[in-house]
Amino acid sequence: MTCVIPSIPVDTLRDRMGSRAMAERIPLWAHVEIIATCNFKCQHCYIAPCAEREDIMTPAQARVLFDKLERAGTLSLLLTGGEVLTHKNFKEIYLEAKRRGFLLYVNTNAYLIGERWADFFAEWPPEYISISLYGLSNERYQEVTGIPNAFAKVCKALDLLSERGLTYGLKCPAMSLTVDEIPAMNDFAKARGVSFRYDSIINPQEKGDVSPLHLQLAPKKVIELEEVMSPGMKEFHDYYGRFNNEPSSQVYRCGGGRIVLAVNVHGGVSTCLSSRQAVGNLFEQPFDEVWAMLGGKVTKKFPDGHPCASCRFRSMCAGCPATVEQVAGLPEGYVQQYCAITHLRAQRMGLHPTGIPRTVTEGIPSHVRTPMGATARALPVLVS
Amino acid sequence: MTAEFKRGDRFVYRHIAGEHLLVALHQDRAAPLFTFSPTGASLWHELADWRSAERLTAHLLDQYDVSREDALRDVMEFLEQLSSLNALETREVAP
Repeated sequence: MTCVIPSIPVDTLRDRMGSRAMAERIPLWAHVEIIATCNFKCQHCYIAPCAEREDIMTPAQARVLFDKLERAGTLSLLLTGGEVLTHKNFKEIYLEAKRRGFLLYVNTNAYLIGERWADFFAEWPPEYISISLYGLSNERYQEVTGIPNAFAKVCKALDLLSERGLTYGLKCPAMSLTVDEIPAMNDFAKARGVSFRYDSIINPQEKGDVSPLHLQLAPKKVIELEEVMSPGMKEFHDYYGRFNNEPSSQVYRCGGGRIVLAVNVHGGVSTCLSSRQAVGNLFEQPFDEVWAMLGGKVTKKFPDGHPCASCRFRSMCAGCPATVEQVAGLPEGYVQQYCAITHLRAQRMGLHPTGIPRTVTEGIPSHVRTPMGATARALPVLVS
Repeated sequence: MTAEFKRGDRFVYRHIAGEHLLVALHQDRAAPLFTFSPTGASLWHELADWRSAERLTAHLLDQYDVSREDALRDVMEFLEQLSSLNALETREVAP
């Protein structure tokens, strides 16, 4: 018998818990959107432009939600928006979650982080603060976010967090407005000793406006950026090598709906933040009922003849069921844009001879849902 | 005088995916969470109120087929670890 505290590295513990959670479908991770509005007016955003002033989770609603997540076995909780620091009850909600023993993660644009917020986070530290970076000058920030002098304020915020030893990282959507600065942003992050990541997929607004898609990089531009950011595509080789890349008819191969769920400001539950189609509501329904509905969704299979069902590059696909759902309306749809990026990526890695998806030469089966109308027209042309 | 112990308010206990966890609320530890065995969890629950090492040992003896010597050693080691994590309050009381 021993009751001592074993000295297990945290990463090992997380891996062990993750494996068990995956096997037993425990919702270890929850992404909670506490406010949909934002103090930035970003051109690429798919949430805030559709938000109304009342799209805010109240502290009472948050308590209902946290009760259910706590009992269900959620450990890590991401508070996201909109911009969470514009929520007038952010501290109350944050501390409610913190005192229940959730490991907290915070998404923010950092614009509002001054001494007081930095001191608050230092006293009650989150595991990680994920900060959106939109450029390396006030001018670029204004172009992307519509807010003047924002870069200077964000830099000050980063200094305050660093001074207090808080863990944060930077991220940026790689799009036509930012792509030229992505490598320099990576250097900026490195100089601060923090991580940087970028995402090349831009989504339409959740209520259907496709204007953000005009900022999407064409596949060739995405790959050019990747070759600059990861010479020899090393990171993709490493990533790809970690997976069993046998084709599968399962639409979902991620943790969405298995160990992860997302909850929007109204309690609506989806597989992850990228999915905007709620299957149930945690303000109104028991957790088990909603979780079962989500479980049903992630067991979906591709229809016969679907190009993704025979693809061996899905682990490094530019899209995922959630982004396909946003663009094509169904998670089991097909977005040739993603396929073009992925095949070009595979070609650069020496895994595909031409980099051109089979659907370009052979066509897409007519029963497979693809982007329609304005969405289809807004996506950049293939390859070039 | 006898030393008594009670769990502090700088950690929250969670039982998730088979793991008994202590989640740190503040930044004064190198790690955000620690795990302990079911026996440790049982002692942590006992420590909701002030308890002496003797009483904690008796608690283990009630629950496990173990010698008094081993139980006391485990209790003392556990208390020491909690103390090093700043997870324990201590007081001295008259016997």
